[in-house]
Amino acid sequence: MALSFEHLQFALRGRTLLHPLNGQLLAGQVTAIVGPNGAGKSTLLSLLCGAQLATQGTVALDGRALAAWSHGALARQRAVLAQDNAVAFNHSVQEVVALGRYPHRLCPSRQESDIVPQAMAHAGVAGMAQRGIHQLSGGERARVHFARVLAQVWEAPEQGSRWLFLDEPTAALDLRHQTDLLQRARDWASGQGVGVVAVVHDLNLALRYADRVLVLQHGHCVADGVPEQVLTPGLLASVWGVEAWRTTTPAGDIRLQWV
Amino acid sequence: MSASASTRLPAGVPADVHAGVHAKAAKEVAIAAGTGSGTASGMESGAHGGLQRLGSARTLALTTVLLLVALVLGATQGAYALPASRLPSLLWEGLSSVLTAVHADLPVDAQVFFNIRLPRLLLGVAAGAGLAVAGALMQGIFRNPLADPGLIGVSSGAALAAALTIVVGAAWWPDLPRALGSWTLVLSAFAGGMAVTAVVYALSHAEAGARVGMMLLAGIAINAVAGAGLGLLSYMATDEQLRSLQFWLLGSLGGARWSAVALVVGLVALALVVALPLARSLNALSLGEAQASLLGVDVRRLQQRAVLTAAVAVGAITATTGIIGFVGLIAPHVVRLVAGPDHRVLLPASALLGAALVLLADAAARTLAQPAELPLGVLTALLGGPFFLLLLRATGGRAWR
Repeated sequence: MALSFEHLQFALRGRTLLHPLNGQLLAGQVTAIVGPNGAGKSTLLSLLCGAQLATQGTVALDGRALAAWSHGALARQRAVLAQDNAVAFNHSVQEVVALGRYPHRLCPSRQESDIVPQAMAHAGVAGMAQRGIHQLSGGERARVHFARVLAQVWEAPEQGSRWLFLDEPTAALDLRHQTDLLQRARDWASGQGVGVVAVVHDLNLALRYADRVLVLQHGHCVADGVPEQVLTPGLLASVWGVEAWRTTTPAGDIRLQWV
Repeated sequence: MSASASTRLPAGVPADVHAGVHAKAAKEVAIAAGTGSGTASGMESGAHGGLQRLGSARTLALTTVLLLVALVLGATQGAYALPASRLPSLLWEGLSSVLTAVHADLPVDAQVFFNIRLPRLLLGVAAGAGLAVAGALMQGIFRNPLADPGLIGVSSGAALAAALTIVVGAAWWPDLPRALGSWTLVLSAFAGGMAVTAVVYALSHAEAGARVGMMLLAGIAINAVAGAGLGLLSYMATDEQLRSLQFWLLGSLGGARWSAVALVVGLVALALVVALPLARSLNALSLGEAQASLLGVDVRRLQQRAVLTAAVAVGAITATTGIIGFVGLIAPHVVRLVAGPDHRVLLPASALLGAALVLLADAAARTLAQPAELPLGVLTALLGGPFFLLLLRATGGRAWR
């Protein structure tokens, strides 16, 4: 029940965006990918979820190379929330969320009719089910697409693991919805054994919700491990060039501060 | 954001109060169809005044009724008027004469109906349905409500081939009419449409990635070249050739012979059979090619099927009727305004509406300037344009916001 990658490398027009990378991500964990702009975070995410083919190296889901999976079978086990989610026509929110069930159209769940409403409730968009996607704000739209990816991997497959790939899922969200969304992903990981891989910019969100953090810089993985141990003021200085210090919340958790 | 003004009112306000114009327009449509209720409660309206849309069953019922009305109008109006009350018995007489193979004793009105009116109606239904579905397919594939079946070059290819046949065909390929007879123009136009579509498609696949964008640009370029060829051929043509070319370009159902009708109806039916199951994949494509692919849609195969289906349908229709503009563009638009963009409703409802529009335009073409017949392509645009503008005003153009 893992996603493993070997010698994973990606180059575009002769420019290497990701240098050879080995590793393994576990289902049931939240893995945060962090790093400065242009470090290769989205590239790594797109290679891991199979949206893009690696120049070299392989990604294997449950021991099977992604290239050997059919589009449909892969779509039943992993869902991807992209950054750019423009919808061409003014579908209702419910229609957009129901698109998440597309991979299951030939073999619907026994609870099929309940899944879309429940997914909308999980993402906090149930109240806007009949509104047009074009009438929503950016943050509302992001939550609708979160509901769509939840609906896509709502139930565990008969065998194999489930994965949620989230590319900057909190970028358009207010503080409350940022924590709601990541808490939901966190619950899915620990409660249902879903593997969550998220690109995040806010290091404190990574500290609070991630089991593991991968730090990328110039296409290299410069740190990998438990967030509290990895995200040190020294690392922030060398990777982001930002002077930061650690504080402790009243609950005793470690947070970072800068500015 | 004025768009959300009507959607954020308190839940306590009845939907038909703040839904305002939208509900009113939909109400009129519902009343016109005699589908009953005529209030906002009959529509899929959520709390907080969601989208005012007709449900799928109502939309299909409404477009079916519209098509039936258009069929009766088209059957009765014309140079030889037939009373609507005669239609059932005419159908019966014609059918029994076909079954018993006795043709001699058919009354004049039955002969008019069977040899002239009915094939024309069927051709109109097939043409309207095929053009509208092709339009919906292209808009879905290009993710653009302004896409048109002509975008992939099929209409201009057919027009160019028709012009070649009319203007230089007799001089360059004198054997062609001898071999193909009255099918010469139809077959060459069909072949031209398919050939130009194949060129556009091949060009768009020369470089991987950005395929749809390439297809759009290749289509524009090839359309321009075909337009130039058409212009050159018109310049070379004699007055008589120019007249028949112009007549062909303006579109007409006048050439409805049973054999041609059977061919077009068959190909359009085939196109519908292929197109309708693509609905869910086209919905997913609304999210973009990358997202659709992540949902398990085989985007390339979907594009191939849609383009081929549209090309075959539009090629066959255009080859038989000439250019009938506007139907492929507005029928899907109207359905989207009334019922929303779900392709499971959009494709069949567009087919029904497109068929009704072409029949109504043809009835007008035959009756407005009797005994002369106006060109159909002129009528579809002349009636379709203002109707579309009215609908846009009534709905506040909400499909685009």
